[in-house]
Formats: sequence, C-alpha cells, structure tokens
Amino acid sequence: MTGRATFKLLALVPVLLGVSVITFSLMYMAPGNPADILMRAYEEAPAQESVQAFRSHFGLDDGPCTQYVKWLSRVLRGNLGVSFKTGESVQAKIIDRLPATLELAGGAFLFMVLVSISFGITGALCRGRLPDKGIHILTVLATSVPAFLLGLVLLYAFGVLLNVLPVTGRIGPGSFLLPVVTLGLAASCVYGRTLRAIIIDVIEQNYVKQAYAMGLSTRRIITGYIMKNAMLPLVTLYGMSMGHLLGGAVIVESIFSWPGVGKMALEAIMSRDYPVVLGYVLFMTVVFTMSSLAVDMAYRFLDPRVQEGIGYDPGGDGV
Amino acid sequence: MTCREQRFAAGYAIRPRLITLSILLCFLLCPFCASGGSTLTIGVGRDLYEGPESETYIHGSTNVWEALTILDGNLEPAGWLAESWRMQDGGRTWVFRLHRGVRFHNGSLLTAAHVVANMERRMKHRRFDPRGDLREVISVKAKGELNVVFRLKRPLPFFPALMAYYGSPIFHPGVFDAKGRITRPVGTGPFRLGKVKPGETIELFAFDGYRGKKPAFQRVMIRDIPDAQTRVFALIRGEIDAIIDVGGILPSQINELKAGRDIELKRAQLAMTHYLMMNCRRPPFDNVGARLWLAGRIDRKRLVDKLMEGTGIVAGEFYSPLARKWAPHDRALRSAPEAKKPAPLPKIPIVILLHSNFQQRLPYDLIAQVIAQTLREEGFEPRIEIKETGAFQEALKKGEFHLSIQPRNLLTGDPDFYYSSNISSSSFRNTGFTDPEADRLIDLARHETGQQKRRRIYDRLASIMAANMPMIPLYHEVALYAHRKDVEGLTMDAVFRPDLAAARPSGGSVR
Repeated sequence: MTGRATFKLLALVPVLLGVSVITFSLMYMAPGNPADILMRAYEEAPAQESVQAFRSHFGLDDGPCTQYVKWLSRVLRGNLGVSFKTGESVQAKIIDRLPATLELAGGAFLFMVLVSISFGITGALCRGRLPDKGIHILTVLATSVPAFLLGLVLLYAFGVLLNVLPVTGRIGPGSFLLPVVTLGLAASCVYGRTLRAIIIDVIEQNYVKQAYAMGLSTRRIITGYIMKNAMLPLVTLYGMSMGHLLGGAVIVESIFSWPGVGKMALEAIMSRDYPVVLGYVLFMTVVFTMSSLAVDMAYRFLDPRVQEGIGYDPGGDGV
Repeated sequence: MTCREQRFAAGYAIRPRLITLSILLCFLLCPFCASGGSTLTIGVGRDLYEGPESETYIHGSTNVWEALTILDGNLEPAGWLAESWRMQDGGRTWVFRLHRGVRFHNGSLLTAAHVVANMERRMKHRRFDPRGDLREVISVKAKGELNVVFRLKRPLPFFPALMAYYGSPIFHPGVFDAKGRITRPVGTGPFRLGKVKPGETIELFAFDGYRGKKPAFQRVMIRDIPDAQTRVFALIRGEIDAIIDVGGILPSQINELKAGRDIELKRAQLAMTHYLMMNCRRPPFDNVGARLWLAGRIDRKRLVDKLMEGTGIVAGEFYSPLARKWAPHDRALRSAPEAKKPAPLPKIPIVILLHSNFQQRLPYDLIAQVIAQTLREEGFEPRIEIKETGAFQEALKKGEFHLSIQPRNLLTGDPDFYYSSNISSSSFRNTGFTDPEADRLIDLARHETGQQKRRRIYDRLASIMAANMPMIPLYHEVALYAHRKDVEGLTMDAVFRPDLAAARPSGGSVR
C-alpha cells in the first residue's frame, strides 16, 4: 500500500471525529426533540410522563457534551447504538439496507460509465452531426428535468402504459432498471459531454494523428491512444459520484420504494433519530474517503507516470 | 473465403449472441406480478413495522394484535377480547370479562393474567403508554381465569372506550424482555407475523386458531410504497391488490382511479376532524371577538365543496359526528353569535402555521390560502409558514404562530378525549385558551358516572366553546381507499384499521 493511501486512511480518524462533532451539534441545535416527535401516535401529543420516561431511557436528560462522550465511547467499542424509533441496532439497520443501496448505486454507476463513454466517443467522433446534436439535446433534457419527475414519467411509460417493467420495490430482476436509469441518466449525459470535450482535445494531439497516419484501426486508436489519456480527468468525477450515489438517492428510493440507506437517513433526520443519523454520517464519511482512495489507485493503474512527487503533463506525447 | 461464406460466418457468430440477449431481455422485462396464490398484497404509504422500542412493535392495521375493546361504527366501545365489562364502586373499579377459548399465535390460551402482564408492562415502562391511558390506574389484577379488575384513582365512566384499540394492545407476555420491549409480537389476531423487511415488506399468515371468522386469504403482504403516485401505478398494474391506509390515496387521484376498469374506489368516514387552531395568547386572537369574527367569515361549506373533492364533511360539530351518542349535544357551534371585525394590526404579519407532513395528503395549503385571502381583504398581512416536524412543534410550543391547521382524532369516541386534550388549560396542546369554568366542567364530566348529567355538562361546554371559539372545526375527514375488483369485502373502520380477515377473492376469481 502506498504512503499516500496509508496517509489517507490514517487521516480518516480525525475526519470521522470532526464530522461526528459537527453532525451531533447540528442535530442538537435543530428544533424539536426526539422524545416529542417519536412518541406521537395518530398525530396526538404524548403524555408528559411518557415523554419523560422516553428521555430517561435514552439518556436524553444528559447535557449534549455528556451525550456525545457516551456515544463516542460506545462507537470506540464498535457499537453505533440503537435507533430511538425502533430499538434496532444502527449497524444492523445500515447493513440491512446496504445491499439495496449497493445494487442501486452500483447499477447506476455502471450505467453512468457505459453511457457517458458511449456518448463521449460518439459525440466526439460525430462532432456537429446528428448523433452529437441528439446527445446534446438529451443532455439538456436530462439535466433540466428533476429526478422525481423523470422517475414518475418512466414509471408511467414503462410500468403502466407499456406494462413491461414493475413500478415498485426491489423484487424481481427488472425492478432495478428504472431506478438505475433515473439515478444515472443526468450524470451520464453531463460526463458524456465532458468526455466529448476531452476527446476532441486529445484527437488533435500529434500522437493520435500519427496513429491514424500509421493506418491503425479507429477502434485501436480509441482504446489504445485516445481513451487512456481522456479517461484520467473523468476518473475523479466517477469516484466522487460513487460517493453521492451510495449516499442517498433519497428521491429515487422514495419514488421506486427502494429500501436503501438514503430513505433511512431521511426518516431518521425527520424524526431526530440521533444514533441513526450519526451512524449514517460516519458511514458516508468512510465511503467518500474510500472513493477518493479508489480514484487515486485508479490513476496509478491507468497512467503509471502518476506517482507520488512526479509531475504529469496532459499535453505531452501520450502513452 | 467467399463473400457468401463470410456473411454466413458473421451471421453464425451473431445469432447465439442475439438469442442470449433476447432471453436476457425477456427475463428482465418480465412483468412482475405481486400476488399469486391466496395472497392479498396491500400498499401503504408508511412503514407499519415500528420495532421493539415502540408500544406495539407492529401497527394495529396488520391485524396481528387485538385489545380488550374496539370502537364500533358509532364510536362506542364494543367487545373484542373482552366479552363484557361492568363498573363497580362508583366507577373506580372496572371488571372486564374475557372471551373464553381465545388463543395466542403460539397456541396458548388467553387468560386474565396475560392481560395483567400487558398492563403492568405499560405502567412500569411509561414510554410504552404514550397517551397516558393508564395514568389513572392504581392497580390491575386477575380475578380467576377470565376476569381483569382495574382499580382507578378516580371514577372514569369512559374507561372501556379508553381501553379501545391502542388503549390495551395484548401480546403474550413471553415476548417481553426485561426492559419491557416486545421481542417478537405474538398476538391473538386473525393474522400472525411472518417475515419483516423494515421499510420494505411485512408478511402475514392467516392464524388457523383464530376464534372469529377465518381469513379467506392465507397470506397478506404489506408493502411500504412512500410515493402516492407510485402506489396508484402499482394498483393499476396489479402489483398490489389494495391501497388501504389513512392518506393512502390523495383526493387528486380520484379521477385516475375511477377510470381504472378493474378498480373499486371506496370512502370511509373517520373519527378525525380538521381544525383551525387559534393562538389565544397573542393578538389579535387573544380577543374572543376576533376569533368569533374569523369563525363567521370562513365559509366552511365552500371550502369543503371546492377543495375536498368528496373527502370531507363540513364540520357542524366540534368533534366527529360518528360519536352519535354525543354529537346531537354539540350543536351549539351552529348558533355561534356574529362578531364585529376587530381592528386590524398594521404591518404585523399573521402567521398561519402548517405541518409539512400533511401537505401531500391534505389540502391544508389551499385552505390556508383561502383564509389568508380573507384576512388580506380585511387589512391583515397573513403569511403561511410550512415547517417540518421538529420546527413545527417548537413553533407551537413557543407560540410563534397566530393560526394553525391541524387534525385531531377522537381516539376514544368520548368527548372527554377532545376536551381534555385540547381545551383544558393544563393540556399539552392547549393554544392559550383558559376558562376556569371550562376546566371545572371538564374535570367534572371526566369523573361523572351519571350519563344524563354528563350530557348536560358537555352541552354546557359546547356552549362555552361556541361563545369563545378557541378552535374552529373545519371538516370531518372521509378517507379514500381502493382495491382491485377481484378482491371484495375489504373495509376500513373509523380509526383506519382495515379488516383483513373480511377480505376475500371475488366470486369466480382464481387467486
């Protein structure tokens, strides 16, 4: 493991600490308290004795610093606590929902990579012609239409009108197509346009012109010369988007009844379920850090010239 | 190789890939059919799984657990696990006699000792008694196998109503841990709990040992579908058989469902009333004249006719008219005196506070806009504020509002619930209205065992309410629910509990 990766992993500890302090403070300062919110039934106000019993049981009578220290000491022993709402272990809640989120995020990521690369290459090679213009229009539409509207339109078109795909839940293999497209389409189009611009720039390089002059096939030039140089900037974007995809496709999860961590986090925030929110934030911090680390390692794999302390000239002679 | 041979070779190479792709597409595009066999699939907009830290682990709509009593169509307590009850000692003692032969899902017979254990669990761990239903109970004991004796601090004539539904959920005591949590609900209902995937699905199986009518469906799947439009799509597609929960169907979806050939849309009047609450601690509505003036200016019939699309009944009473024993005595609202318009307060905005959770399923924002326009015409400066739960509760607590639209459920069917929860000056939800006479009458009626005397007290209270108008009842809610036509018998009661045992496949349909 490189020194940079080790440094990043070690730096995770103070980052987690800082993030947890900030999150705890924000939750504590937010209006409302979990006892009142969670004790409601049928929108009725709970009896004061019951609220007090709830507060005592979960240690909410302690001051915020005491509560944080108690929570931190549990976390250091590997225990993220229990949900105020259901009493389930926070780890269990996150782990329970993780496969659904990984499925959705993974599918959306794959979709995003495949579509953005296809759009980027097509747009660059067919610059100014119909395919490029079509992709441009699709990009504008995909980025302008909100995700919830896109999701509902796709549901109606494919689920109700054409009746070819299910509309709810994580049941059956076809059920994840629409959520994946809804989640990944906008980013695919944007990254596709980015890649298009990069490829257009790389195509103008001497080494590419030389490759054409040598009679190499277009396919060979794209895979062996153009993409290797064009992909590097895009890897960073892909890496960061993975974190966002894992974190919370809240709207998509709500529309498609997808039982992921995003929906869980939103419900926890609304009900001031502090342990779940804190557990989720820690989880997301780790995810983003790992994504960043994965991006660094991908850089090394794609371009061996990118090493610690060694510069990199994108306008150079190519690989 | 000749051209023909080249073409043949290319086609030969492509063909298996095309076949594989076609099979894969068919597999992926195969329409999902949620219900097969004897399974009823229901879509709801919330997770009915509540977990071990809640009072019941699983929502009552799942029909897994039952209580001593339940409210009937007139919001009167009817026997459920209890076959009868009697009052003793001037209302300080209530004796409930249980049905004989009731079994839990684990096969054991229900006895009075089990009921006592359930009550003691909630009395010992108060967080499992959120409404404080048992705070006036001194003791609860088993007398014999089937009699449960409650001793109260003071007489409570409506105690059987207080024990209805969430007032006395009964589980086998073996499922309680040392902290009173339910580890796994073992109830007496027509369905027993199967697999739970939180936030996703709840699986129920018919309980063969149920003492009542055996369910026709052997299995029920309850699916959490948060988005209202997705729920309707799922019903139209046949992925679910029914949407039956409060707020499950929006008024704006009525036409869409009516257009569905295979769907039956129904309505159920609830014990829920929607009110315009007034902050009686802040001007201008600390002035009774201002409150009466506003009450007279709001055309509730027009609001209901134009905005509710058949999901509301104009409120002519302060609480649900389903409580037929009490409603005729609450007619004072209709004779509320007219009042003069109060002097406008220049440049001070009137804050109309709304809860964001209700915006999707209730037309509160539209009602608020109508009220705001009324105020604007009279020189006020209204401002509508929509806040999420925590901020909403804080604003109510601090009195940072002038008006607020909120629902109230008459959970016990008794007027004491309405008055004690909203009007009593010691009530958590009182919005600043204080009247010593009202407090006295509320306390008097709460402990008065004479029926006629109690009626007269509530008549007097209704007059006080009409003369002071601390809250304006706008409309009584009519909930929408729907099911596919190959299911029949599915109904929902006034506290939005569906009767899953009564549902059955329609005549001739194969499931």
